[in-house]
Order: sequence, then C-alpha cells, then structure tokens
Amino acid sequence: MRFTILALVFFSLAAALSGQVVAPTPNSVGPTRGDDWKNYNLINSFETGYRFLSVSGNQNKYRSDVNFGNGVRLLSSFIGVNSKEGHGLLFDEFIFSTQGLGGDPYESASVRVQKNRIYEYSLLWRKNDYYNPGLTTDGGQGQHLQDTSTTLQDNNLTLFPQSKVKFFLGYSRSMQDGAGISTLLSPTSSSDFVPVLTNIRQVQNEYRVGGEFRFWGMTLNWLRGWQDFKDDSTGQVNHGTSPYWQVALVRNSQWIDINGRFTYTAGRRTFLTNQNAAEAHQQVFTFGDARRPVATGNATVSIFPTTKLTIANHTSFYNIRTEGDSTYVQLDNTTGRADFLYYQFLGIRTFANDTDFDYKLKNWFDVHGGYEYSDRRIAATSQFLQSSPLYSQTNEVNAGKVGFRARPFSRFTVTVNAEFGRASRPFTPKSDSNYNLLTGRLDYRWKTLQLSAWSQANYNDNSVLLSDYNSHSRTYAGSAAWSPVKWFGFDASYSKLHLETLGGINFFANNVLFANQISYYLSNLHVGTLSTRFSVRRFDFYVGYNRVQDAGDGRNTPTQVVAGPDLPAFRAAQTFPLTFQSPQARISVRISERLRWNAGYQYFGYHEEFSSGQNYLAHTGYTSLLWSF
Amino acid sequence: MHSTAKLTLFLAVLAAPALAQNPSGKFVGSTVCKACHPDVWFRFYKNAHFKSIASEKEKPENTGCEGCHGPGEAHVKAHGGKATIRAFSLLSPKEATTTCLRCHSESLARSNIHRSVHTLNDVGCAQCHSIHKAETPKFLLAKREPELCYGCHTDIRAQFSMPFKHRVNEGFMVCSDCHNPHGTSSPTWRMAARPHMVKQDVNEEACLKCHFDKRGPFAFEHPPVRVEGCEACHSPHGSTNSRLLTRPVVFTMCLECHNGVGAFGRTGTGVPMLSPAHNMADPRYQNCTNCHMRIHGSNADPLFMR
Repeated sequence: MRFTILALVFFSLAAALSGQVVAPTPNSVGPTRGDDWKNYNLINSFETGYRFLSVSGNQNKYRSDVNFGNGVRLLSSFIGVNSKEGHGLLFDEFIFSTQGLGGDPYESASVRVQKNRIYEYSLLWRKNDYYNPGLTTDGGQGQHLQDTSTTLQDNNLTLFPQSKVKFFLGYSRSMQDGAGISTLLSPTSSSDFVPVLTNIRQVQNEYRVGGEFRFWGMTLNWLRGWQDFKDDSTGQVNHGTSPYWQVALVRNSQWIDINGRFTYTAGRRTFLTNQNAAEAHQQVFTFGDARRPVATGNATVSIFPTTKLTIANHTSFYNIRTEGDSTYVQLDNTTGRADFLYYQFLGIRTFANDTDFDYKLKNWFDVHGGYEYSDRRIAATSQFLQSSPLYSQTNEVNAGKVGFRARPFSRFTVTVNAEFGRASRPFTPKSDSNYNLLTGRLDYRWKTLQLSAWSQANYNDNSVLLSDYNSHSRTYAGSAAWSPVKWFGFDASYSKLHLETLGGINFFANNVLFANQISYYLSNLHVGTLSTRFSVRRFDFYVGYNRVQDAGDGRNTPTQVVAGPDLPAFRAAQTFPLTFQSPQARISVRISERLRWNAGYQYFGYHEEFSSGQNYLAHTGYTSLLWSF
Repeated sequence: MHSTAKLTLFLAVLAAPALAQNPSGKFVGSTVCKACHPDVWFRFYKNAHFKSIASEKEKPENTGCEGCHGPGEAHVKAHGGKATIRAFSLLSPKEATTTCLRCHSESLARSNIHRSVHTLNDVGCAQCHSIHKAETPKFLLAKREPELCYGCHTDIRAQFSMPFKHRVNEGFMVCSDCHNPHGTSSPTWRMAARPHMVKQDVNEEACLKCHFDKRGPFAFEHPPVRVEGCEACHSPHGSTNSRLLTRPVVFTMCLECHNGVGAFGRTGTGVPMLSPAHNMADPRYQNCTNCHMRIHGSNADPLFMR
C-alpha cells in the first residue's frame, strides 16, 4: 500500500514536471499526511546536492542559454504548516518554499502566511543571473554585453481577507545590477560616440495601498500605488516616479454582471546627462522633466438571458501622452552657441468596443462569435521644436470572430475558431492590416489517455504601393499523454512552427540606393518532446528528450540565392538552420520513508548549420539527497 | 428487485441531470459527509475552502461541502450516488463555472471571465483547478504551472524549448506572471484587440513589470514600443534568435519597417529609411543596435545612440 501511495505521488509529480530541467527532483518524501504537532500539521522536504557541469565549445553561448554551473545547492525545499481546526494562535497556514538557492542562476523563495479572517501575507523573491555575451546569431560585434543579476521581490498583505471590508498593502522591489556595455559621446566629435563599460544599477520600488468594500451587492476596489524608479548607471542620472490610481466596481447578479475599471498613472522622470566631446570643444547635455500621463477606462457588461446564452460587451478607452519640458543643449565651448531641442510629442488615444456571444445549440454543440471595433488616434510632432506642428492619424480596425465547439461523441471534442480583421491605417509595415486567423483543435480523452491536435494559420497581408509585407505563419501541434498503470507514464508532443515573411525594403550600399528590394525570411521549426517514467520497487526512473530543429529552406550554403537582394548579408539572413537538443535522465531511489537519493544527467547541444562559432556541447548533472525530518 | 424500487431507480436516473445541478432537500452539515468521505475530510483543513468552515459564521449554502455540492439530505438518504448531489463530474464546464462564481465572481481579476477565450472555448474552472486533489496549495491547481498550461498549449511548450526563452521551464517564472487565464481588459497597446489574456502592469504592458528600465518616459521615444508594444520586435515566449527577436539578424528586422514607404510611421510619411551613410554592404552597419544602443528610448539622443 505504501508503495502504491509513493508511486502515485511520484508519477503525479513526474507528469507535472516533464520537459523541465533535470533538477530539482520532483519526488516527495515523508508521510503523505505529514506529522502532527499540537494543533498543527507539518510537511517538509529538503533537497541538497551538487551540480556539475562540463562545457566544450562556446561557453559564453552556454551561459546565455542555460547557465547552470558547478557547486553545492539547496536545490529545493518546502515547509508547510497548517492548523487543523483553523484557529491557530498566530497563523493557520504557513508555507515556505525555495528553489536553486546557493548559486543557481534561477533562485527563488516564497512565503505565504495567513490567519483566517485576520490577514494573508505573501512574499515572492526571485533572482536571475543574466548573461549576454553580445550575441547576434550571425556572430555579432559584441554589443549589449551584459553580466547582470536581476532581483525581483513582491510583498502583499491583505487585512481581513474574508470580510466585507478588506485592506491591501504591498511593496515590490526590482533591481538590475552588474556590468554592461554602453556608449558615451566621442571625445572627437559631438555626433559620434564610443562604447564604454558601465555599472548598470537600476532600481524600482513600488508601494501599494488599497481596499475593497462590499455593499448592496457591489464590490468597490481601489488601489493607490507609487512606482519609484532610479537609474544611477554610469553616465546618467535618471530618477522618476509613477504614482497611479486604480478604481474598480464589480456588480454580479443571476442574469447580468457589470464591472468597470479606471486607472490613471502620472508618470514622471527627471533626468540629466552630460557628455563631452572635449577635443571637438563640444558639450552635449540633456535635462528635463519628462511626463507621461496614462489613463484607461474599461467597462464590461455580461448578460445571461437564458442558461444557454451569454452575451458580453466590453468597452475600453486608453489615452497616453508623452510630453515634457526637457531640453537638449549642444554647447560649442569655443563660440558659446547653444541649440535647444524640445520634446517630440507622442500621444495615443484608443477606443475599442467588442461584443462576444456564446450559445449552446445542443448539449453537444455550441457556437460563439463576436465583433470588434477599435479606433486609435496617434498625434505626434516631427521636429524637436517647441512650435513644431502636430500631425495626427487614425487607424480603424473592424474584426469579426466566429467559432464552434462540438462533442460529436463522448470523449472527443472539436473546436474551430476564425478571426478576420481589417485595419485602415496600420502604424508600421509589419502591423496587423488585413489579417486572417484560423484555429482548430481536436481533443480525445479516455481514462488516462489524452490525445490532442492543434493547428493555427495566421496570415497578415499589408501591401502598399512600393512595398509589400506579407507574413504567413502556420503552426501544427500534437500531443499524447498516457498513464495506463501507476508505475508507468508516457508523454510526447510535436510542433511545427512555420513562419514565412516577405517585406519590402529600401537601403543604401556603397552610396547606391537599392530600392524596392525584398526581405525574405523563412523558418521551419520542428520541436519534439518525449518523456517516460517508470518505477521498479524502490527505484524511480525518468527519461526525457527535447529537440528543436530549424530546417531552414533547404539551401546548402548561407549565401545561396533564394530571393531578395543580391548582397551576401541579405541572403544569409533569409534562413537560420540550427539544432538545439537536450536529452535527460534521472533516477531516484527511496532509501527510507524520509530519505531519497537522486542523480540526474542532462545534455545540451547547440549546433548552427552555417557557422560553428556559437556551437557548444554541455554535460550537466547532479546528485542529491531528498530528506524530510 | 421490486417493481417500485425499479421505478424509483429509473426516475432517479432520469432526474439525474436536474438534481445534479440543483439538488434539493436540507443542509446536513459537513460533519455528516465525513462518515463516508473521510479521505476528503481529513485533508480538507489544508484546503483554502476550509476557511469558510473555520469561520463558523457562514450560511450553510456558503460553507463546507454543501457550499459547492448543494444540500446533502437527499444524498445521505440515498446512501450516496452522484444523482443526489451536485457532482462536478456531471456538470458542464459552464455549469461548473457558474457554481464557482457564486463566491468567486467578486474579484477584479475574474471580472472578464465571461468574455475570456477560455470561457468561450468551454474551458471551465474544473479543467485547471482541482479542489480535492490540488497540486498547489495556492490557487488549488490540478497541476503545477507551466505543465498545466502545456496540457493544451503544445505550441507554447515548443516555444519555451528554444535556446532563447523566458525561464519558465527553469521554474523562475510561471505563465500567470504575464497572463490572466480568467480574462483581461483590452490591451493598451496595438489596437486593443490582441493579444488576449495578457496582464497589464496597471495600464501598460506586463513586460514592464520586470523590464522596468524600458518604461520611460524618454525624451526620445521609439514610437513602435509605445504603439505596437514589445511584440513588434520580440517573440515573448521563446525564439531561436538572440534577445527573443523575431529575426535572426537584426538589420532585416529594422529594415522591414524603416523602408520609407507608404503612410506609415509617426507622421504618416513612411518610417524613415536609412541615410546613404549606412553602407549595408559593410558588416559595421549590419548590426543596427551596435550604434543605436538605446533602441527602446533615449534621453540623450534622438537616434537612440546614447
């Protein structure tokens, strides 16, 4: 019986984590129901072990993609304490969990404490080591070198969570810190620059206070927040705050739901940069007080005239203005002349309304559809002058949606959706213009067998007189999951992501204008995942394999002519065949009810077809003890 | 079996769907349920729904087993059976959602659930949440993220398998960091139509919550960042291209907009094309962001160089 319970726990967790990195181990230890202590129940587990790594090839690319290293880790931990009667002295639930502490590039810790009816507190802390060796996949010039760490922290406290009157307090802190490359004005010219290494240090603190009141069947929710930003990276000072309001009203009843939400943010930044082109006797500094007020309003009305019909209407309004009185000054130290350039104003105002309906014609067949209209006005100045004329343009989109869902026989479901949209004036040549989106899904579920297939075609055609932009993406995906017995499970998926774009481009080469050229890009990505898990007595095994392959367009050399400009760089940019694969295996042995030994291995192989500079092979693995006290 | 008993059984089967949705009778209290469902009961104090029992102040229809499953008198008298109680395994996704929303509709996070893509495609609460066999104490999810979402979104699983990706498979973040599976208000970028279900950081794109240095305002804004959003240049889930770009080589991505053609751009005169000084035959000019480093916006340079 114990074996059965443990096997059940193992398989459910293994299924939950297939396709993930090999460690931490997803098994659990200790009695399923935990240990009782006074009026509390306690569950805990800790996994400590050693990660190992061996890389051949481009180590920088490995750090960019995977980044797991060597060393001792607290791979994961979990402590859960629950009061059994819901009347604990200080808390009724305490949950603490961690992952990757001790040096993994992806570390996290979370705390959740609550006492029924009095408070709920949660903390989520995360740290990500980010490494960018200046990659561009064609072999870049080293731009954007970064070796930073980003720390994110969210604290939320709710007072009287089950009451009609609640209060919220929150604090979040985000920080990016480390070394990176930037640019400064060149000493020899006020129009040129030089790359420099800087210490990146950007911090955002957010403070929140809010409340919620329920009265007359309605819920009024309000939130006041302040997002304070600071960038003290070398070469600039940029501080600002974005205080915001959010007010929402929710009203629900048996046949109609109404809710509205309003937000306003008064974004504001003060900044100062001062750069010298000493040898050119030029000094360039910008300073100012940037403002970006943002206002939104949303209203949703959902009506349920019958139990078979739902109609939902949503109206949204969005207004943003980027403006300010900042000044760009270019001083010529020899003449004392200064040029003042003012803000480029950018304002966006969007109004949108959409209506969706869902009607159940039969118990096995329902249809849904909708219509959406949106209107966006963009106002902007073209010159950095105070009296620059304001230019405005309006884009309207009309989109229709229709679909159905059918269950022709038990366990089998078919879903089809289509959306057609037409835009009058897209903002960029790549924006949605005349787009058609068609999606279909098949699902079959029988006991522990689940089969599904999915397909989506997304076509966007944006043609203008001198240039065309066409994007055709098609996705096909299928998956199968099967767990016929408790000690065996199987999971597989395959996706083909096809993207084909044709863009009109104009450019200069050697002072010659190449007009009305074509930028052609083709990607045929095949992605497969396969995993199986099985158990033999005390031994639990997991084997998985992920493979990503861009098959390209079939060419043998990167500069082979397919379509587009007759420049080697353009030809080489049309397709980018590569393979990225990652097999993994793990064994977990139950030594006792409270102790497991685990070991795992994961291989990462990255291979580009036309260039070997960024290829690498990495052998990673770990061994650990998973224990519970 | 007596004919009366057969008739009763037959009528009970006929009436099953109706009874399952609206079981009648009196409320008997959760402690009665314990007698036949000890496994559920003895674990239930770890369930978020146990709060309603612990408070001892809720009405019978809003607390304990019967808060969700309806009055249990008929179920007890019949010595069990799904026909005599509101059994979620017999409910349609819409019916299950309606039952859950009796208590959970007041939240702002679920205020758009009736127009969410999940609801329109008949994905109800019980498809993602498991009240009695949850794998996560928070939100009572049937599986952990992202595996829960991968169950249907196979193509997204594929995108997170790419060499460049957000660290979801590594456990650093989860799908619900960026998405609200219960539906969202219209996005404040693009044309307020797509993408669906992407959260907002107050009233701007969710990306800015972590990538806060891109928020601005900047003295010199790169307009597509504000107008079309991050997806104009990036594939947010994963990509074979560095920096999650939509193209493997950056200049092709830039040139597809900066071609000076048509009525596009800030002033409707076309997005400015490169000056003759840009010799695209020279590799120096093929890495645009080598010089235009502050491409998301700059306070020092209108061409985003500093």
